[in-house]
Amino acid sequence: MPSAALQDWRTSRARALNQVEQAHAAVGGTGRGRRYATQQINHAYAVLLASHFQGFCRDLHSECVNHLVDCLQPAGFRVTVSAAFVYGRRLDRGNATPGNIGSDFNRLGLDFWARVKSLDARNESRMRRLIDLNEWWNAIAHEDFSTVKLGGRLPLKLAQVKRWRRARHRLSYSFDEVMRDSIQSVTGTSPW
Amino acid sequence: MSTAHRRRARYHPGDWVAFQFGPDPVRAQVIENRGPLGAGGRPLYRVRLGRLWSEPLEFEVSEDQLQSVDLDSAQVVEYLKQGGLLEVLRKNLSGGSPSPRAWLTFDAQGQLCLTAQAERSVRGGAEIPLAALFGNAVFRPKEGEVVDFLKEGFGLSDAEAAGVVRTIGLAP
Repeated sequence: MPSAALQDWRTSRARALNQVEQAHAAVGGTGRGRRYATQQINHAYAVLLASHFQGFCRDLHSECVNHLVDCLQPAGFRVTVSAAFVYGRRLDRGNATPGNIGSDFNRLGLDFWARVKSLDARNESRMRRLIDLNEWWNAIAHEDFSTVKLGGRLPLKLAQVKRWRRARHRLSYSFDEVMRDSIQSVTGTSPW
Repeated sequence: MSTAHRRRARYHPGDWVAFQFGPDPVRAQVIENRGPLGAGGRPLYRVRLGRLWSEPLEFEVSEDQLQSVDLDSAQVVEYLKQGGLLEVLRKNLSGGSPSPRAWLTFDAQGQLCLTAQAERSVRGGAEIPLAALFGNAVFRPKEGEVVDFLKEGFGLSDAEAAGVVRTIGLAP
């Protein structure tokens, strides 16, 4: 059974992202040729994808913290420990970069990215795709499309955003599995 | 905000809640409904807890650990009688646009205090009567206006509002 965060990623968050893809087809069709409006939709899709993945990571972190503190005694201590786990959480305000994700999840007592990479060798390349999207997110947010930073990959194509989305989709399952196993090893009970 | 919440939430952003934080019972303000991310699908809320001489703490608490904060009129009356009304009336001695308003909130130690930020409010919001202070008393010609302000802004009854004004005193 998946975590509530992963369920949400697969359902309501996926629906929101699917709607952007549908908008892309509605504006530009599926044929070849330049369609300027679709470039703006690709930018919006990229930003929305980054936002929803950050939301998933933040939700998963919250869910993990609550499961971990739930086994603490006395019960009155749980809120205090929970507060310490989320103090200064980077995913509350920053993008879901590998650094921010690792920093927040490592606080829960594991080497998060080491576990994610050991789960699937392809997660290393998927992790790099996190960095790519974040570079584009900054470019779109700050209107700074320096080809050096973006590796000369202007304009942004729908196929690229779809690749980023697939990478995040695969990572979401790995994150879920790593944290489930980690919490189970500490508490003795599967959290979900 | 998480999109994962489906059932009706008991608390909403802006609500004040009470819970045990370490050795102390505290009051904090709900700033986000995080949805059913708690163990067993329990709803989680992000709260902001004021701390003395430090930045407020923001963290998440499950719904079953929270209680509503009920502010009864007796607490408000006590605060106003102990000098709170004078502090409020001093906020509008010379007018301005928009007219100043007053809200009550809880400070870092859970005590009632004044705020100009509506989002921190636990009660209040009425426009403060203009120039309604005479020294350290209510300006007599403004008595009715101040009573109406106390009733409208802080939910006091006629008797409670009149009692607060009597305690502070009228002048000249």
